[in-house]
Amino acid sequence: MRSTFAGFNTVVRGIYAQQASLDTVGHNISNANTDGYSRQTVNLSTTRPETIYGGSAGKMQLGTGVTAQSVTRARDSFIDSQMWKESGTLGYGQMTQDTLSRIEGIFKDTAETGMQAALNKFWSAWQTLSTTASDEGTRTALRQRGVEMVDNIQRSSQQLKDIVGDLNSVIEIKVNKTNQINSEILSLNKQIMAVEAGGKDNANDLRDRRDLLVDQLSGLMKVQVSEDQYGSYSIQSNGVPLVNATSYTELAVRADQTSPLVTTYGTPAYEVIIKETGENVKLGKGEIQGMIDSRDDDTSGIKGYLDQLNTMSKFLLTDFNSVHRAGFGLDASAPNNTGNNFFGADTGVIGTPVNGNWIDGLKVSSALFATSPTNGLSKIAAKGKATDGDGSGDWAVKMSEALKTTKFSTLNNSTLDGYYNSLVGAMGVQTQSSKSLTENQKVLVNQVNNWRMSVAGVNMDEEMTNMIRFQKGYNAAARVMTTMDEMLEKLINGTGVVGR
Amino acid sequence: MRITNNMITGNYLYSLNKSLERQNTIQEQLSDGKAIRRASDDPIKTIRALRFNTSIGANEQYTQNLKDAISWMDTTDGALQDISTLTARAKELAIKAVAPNPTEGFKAIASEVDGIINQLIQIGNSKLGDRYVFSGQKDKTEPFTSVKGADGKVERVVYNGDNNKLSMVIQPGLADATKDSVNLTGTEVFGAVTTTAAGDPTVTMFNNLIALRDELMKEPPDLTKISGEPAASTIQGKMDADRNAMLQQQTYIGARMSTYEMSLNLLQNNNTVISADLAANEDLDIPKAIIDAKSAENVYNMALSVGARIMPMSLVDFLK
Repeated sequence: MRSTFAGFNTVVRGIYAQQASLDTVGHNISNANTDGYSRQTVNLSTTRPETIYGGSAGKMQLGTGVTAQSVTRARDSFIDSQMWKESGTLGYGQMTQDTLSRIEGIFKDTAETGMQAALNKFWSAWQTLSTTASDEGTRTALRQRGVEMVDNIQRSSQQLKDIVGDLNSVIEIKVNKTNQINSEILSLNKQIMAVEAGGKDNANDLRDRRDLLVDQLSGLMKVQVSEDQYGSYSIQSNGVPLVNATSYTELAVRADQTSPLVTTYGTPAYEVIIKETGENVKLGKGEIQGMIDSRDDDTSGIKGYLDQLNTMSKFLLTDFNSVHRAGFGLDASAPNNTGNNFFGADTGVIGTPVNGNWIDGLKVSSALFATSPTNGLSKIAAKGKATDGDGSGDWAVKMSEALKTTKFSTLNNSTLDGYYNSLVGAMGVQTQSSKSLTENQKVLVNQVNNWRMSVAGVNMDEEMTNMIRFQKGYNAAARVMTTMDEMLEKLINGTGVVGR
Repeated sequence: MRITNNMITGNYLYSLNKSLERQNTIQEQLSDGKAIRRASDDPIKTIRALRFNTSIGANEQYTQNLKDAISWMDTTDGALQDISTLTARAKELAIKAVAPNPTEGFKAIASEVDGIINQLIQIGNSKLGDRYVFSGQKDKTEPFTSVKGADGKVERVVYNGDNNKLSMVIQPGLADATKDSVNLTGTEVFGAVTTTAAGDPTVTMFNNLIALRDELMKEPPDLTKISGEPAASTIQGKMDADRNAMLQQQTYIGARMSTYEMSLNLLQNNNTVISADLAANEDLDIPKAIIDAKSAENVYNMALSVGARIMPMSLVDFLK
């Protein structure tokens, strides 16, 4: 025989369950715009039925109502792992593109400005000298064009080095951010383990926060995430362990002493290390590695472009000078009117600098600026034979040819013009392809993100519908309770009063 | 597919941004009329633009060289015309001197010859700017200096220039005296150098004129030295030879000048062609760009107004 009041319990359970569901609707709506939030659902199930004896009918199972079994979040771990895979590639691409765009800004040529224009003007000055070799004004103009050429190369190289400096400081910031994220993930790992220790509880909101942190981390570097049986993440990047259930690896930056950027160009280049052991690590592709690669790469990195400027400087200091040395300055009878350099040291073959950096040594020879005993301008070689008169500009033509049309092995068997053109061309293609790759990757990540939002996001219509559903459920349960109340009222107060 | 509100806003923002980006690109291009603003916009066109600009620069330089060369030759030609007139007059005078019953005294003729000598020295020292045109490569050295005798008359004219050619290149390639030279040296115009006993280099034309003058100054002059047979050994004969050699050079420089004038035309045409190529390569198709800009603007406006209408809508708006 059932207890008279058992029905109340059933209805109360119903009211509680509807209320919990309604609360969750509220939670969902409130967090609709919270980053990383995934919508939650209250999973209802029936409570254990009561066995009652129905006399001749035997035993039967009478339902006792509903209970909120669990609250779970809508989440697809497959989409998450997709996201974490793709967003690293996006971060890598974006950083490469950023650096390349800045390099592009440095090598920006217009008809009037830029390296090509400086080169053209320098060439023109030699040509003009060839027609008016004896004119001092022409020589002064030529010397100035030489200075302009040098300035252009050195300014570009300084700007490239400035980018390296910027990249270093951003790398440091990002590594610090990585540490912060990892330490938070570790603390969340611990909290989640504690909450879920019982086995039935789901630490939904903590998990959302942790996944959001992994999202951020995956932009910085490509990560491999695995979840152990106790619910804690262990994360690696390119084989470097970052976080596990009990600890995280603190990363740091250090100036790489062996990088050619330091040894040749004297600009520090940061590398990522494990703070404790000092071991140099290569992280998976992401923003950090993107910055390092766009700095160090031999073709598309800043180092590659510095190398090309270095080659151009080397050409001017060696091959171009050697043509100049063979020519003659004004006044054949004056001493030292041949064998003079136009760039670098005043005379003689210029040897390879110890650190391999030709750019720093590039300058218009100081002898050309001398005012005594003879005017330095007279050292500019415009004639090819000592016996030629000062009006001869034949060698100036040769010099102009060396600038534009003669191919040199120093310049990969191309002309200086050709060499610079291929620099610009390669830069354009690299930037263009990195732009389109990044654009594609952005679309892909957007797609994955949409996919994820489709599963985990909050839909207001749905929540409203649920709200009405649970409201109606709540009202109905309350109505049942009222009915029971009326029933018992009849039973208790309305029965057994015959004849009263 | 389940659609959530954040998806709608996210996608909306993404496309709105795309549309803005497109507008920005077109606006950037329209602001200076160039289709290429950075190398990555079109690497191939960028390199072509570099080459075209370089070609234009080279073309302008060669045009400048050409104009310099022409003005040099112009000056030379003007001087040669004067020399031609003067030498013609000298020849007249020589003929006059040997004709019977000279209308003027020998001395008067001699003094006119002397005047011609002085004028020729002046012409021989013609300058373009501050460069002597007849000094060969020693263009800063006065080519002809006269040494005067006790009587104040020019005793001999010394040539101080050299026999080298000045080259002004008008096309790529090394300077080549036979192809690129623009000058006539003093010896080409005034005849070969004879070195005097004192070691002074003198040139034939002046030597002969001075010989004529000196002969006429003698009393009486030996007219057979001035004219007679064989003509080649007389002063008059030698003067004719000098004049012919000079006229030959004048023809030569005239021919070169017309070649250069033609090249000038060619270079100017090239300049037009390359400029057109450059423009075709990097200039924006303005009408198309304006239409693009207009349509991008429309798309953007449409997106904005649609967004404003659908975004806030949900069941929330309809529940009472």
